[in-house]
Amino acid sequence: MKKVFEIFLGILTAFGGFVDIGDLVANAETGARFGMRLAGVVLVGVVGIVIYAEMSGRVATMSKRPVFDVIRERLGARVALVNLAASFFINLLTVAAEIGGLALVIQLVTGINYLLWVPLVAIAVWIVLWKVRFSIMEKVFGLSGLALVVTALALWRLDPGFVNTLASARGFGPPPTESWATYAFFAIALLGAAMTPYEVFFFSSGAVEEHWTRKDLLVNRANVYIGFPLGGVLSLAIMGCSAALFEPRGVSVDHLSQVTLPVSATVGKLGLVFLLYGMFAAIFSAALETALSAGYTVSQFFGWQWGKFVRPREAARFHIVILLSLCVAVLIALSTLDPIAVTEYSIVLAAAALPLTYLPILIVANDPAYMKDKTNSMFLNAIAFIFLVVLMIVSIATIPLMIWTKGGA
Amino acid sequence: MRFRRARQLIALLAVTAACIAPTRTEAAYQAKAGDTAEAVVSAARTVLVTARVAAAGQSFGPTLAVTVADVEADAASARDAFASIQPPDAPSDAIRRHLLPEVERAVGVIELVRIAARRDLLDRLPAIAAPLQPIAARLDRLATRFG
Repeated sequence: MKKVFEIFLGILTAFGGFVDIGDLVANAETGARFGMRLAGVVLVGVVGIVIYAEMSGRVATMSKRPVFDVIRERLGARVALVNLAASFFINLLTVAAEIGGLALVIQLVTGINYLLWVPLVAIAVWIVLWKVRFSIMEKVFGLSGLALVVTALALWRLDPGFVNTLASARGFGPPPTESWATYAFFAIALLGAAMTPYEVFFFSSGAVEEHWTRKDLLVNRANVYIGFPLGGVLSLAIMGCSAALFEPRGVSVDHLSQVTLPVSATVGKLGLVFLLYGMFAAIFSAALETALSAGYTVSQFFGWQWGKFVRPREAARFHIVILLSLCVAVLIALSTLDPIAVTEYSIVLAAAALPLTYLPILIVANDPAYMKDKTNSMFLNAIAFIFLVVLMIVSIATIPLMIWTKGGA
Repeated sequence: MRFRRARQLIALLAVTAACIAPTRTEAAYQAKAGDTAEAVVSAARTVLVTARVAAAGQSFGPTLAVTVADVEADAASARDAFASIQPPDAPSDAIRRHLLPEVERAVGVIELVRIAARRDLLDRLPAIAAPLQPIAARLDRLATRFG
């Protein structure tokens, strides 16, 4: 019974914690411009993150070490350094995007300019990281993110039975007003939003933080195989709301404030309260994960003590990296660069760097020296390899498409 | 010799700075006009939805005010960017004469909506925003014509 409850709680946490500012922005923008024609990409992204998150959790459980640490040992410091450089820079942008996103949500509640909230939000994130236990912080914010389910209710009211939504989802290719290049660029953005690199580093380090054993592999699988796809449903609901309300009107979604309109229009003030609460929790959860991920990757590369499972004084450099990352994120956010633009660049660059993150994980997940009897099955390897090929193509195409389409303008 | 080169460089920079880069062709100017019209239509229709939500009491004042202010900034930015572009020829002058007044009207109405929203006059928003309906329709036709 206790195990069942643990699995159930894990699923709900993964469900509520799936969406972050990148998913909110990418899915809302895409829905407004392309309807549901890119819904398939969200599904592909969800399958991808499920596969690789499960692998990274399994690597950490069987080797008792996080993925990045194992990558450094197995593939050498140079490969790990390239991986670190790419993922750390993108991670910093993502932290800045999450901090900016939180400040925007508070602005929506108070009407006070988001710039004033940026430093306060960063301090709040740091206090939670410093003071709150890992498992509590993960569960509280993950479960609170479930409030975003209100977007599914809003979509039902906008499109009862999801008739038009499903019809639009069957369409392939851009509408007449858009080009194939922009369509491909937004597909890449959606993939980057779903398969964020920080997720796998956080997931595997979290497995060590929580001292997972073989017995927890079932919980790991339930979290990712059920929780993440449910989170993907939330992403599709956000896209669908935008498609139903904005696409017919020719409205382009460029602000988080516009994302609130479908829920307000159909569910009213109570729905809006749920939405804003869910947004805040989901983005706060992501801010915690990305900040921790910064500390994890740097500390694991240099072999420093890391983690919240030891006292802060025992992992001083880990906490300093987190603090400095938050400071840099605040500076980026305070530079008045539009947080939505920062988010867009972070998810697109994340998509470009995905092979650097996922290839090492695939290699390690097949090494019996680390995995013992829990290496990948042939079926899983086949799917993972196909994904890797897709990610390589995406990685090569990202920058040229970004230039060609002027960032999807 | 060095001073002569420096003076030449300064002169080159001064001439470059004095130039407002024109759009090279009518087609490029027309495309820019289409983009501007689309951007302002998007802002106008967002405001119309926001006004409807406000009148129905389905949202909160600060959220509505922020929404209108956000899209007002987009519309104003699109207007300013288009207004600063040098039309390359006479047909482009005609495009500008058709488009800019409508864009100005839209931005003006959106500003009034923003002011009312910030004053929490939420039940008045639909009436204030009403002119945006026909303006958005005309801009939509212009966007289709120029796009």
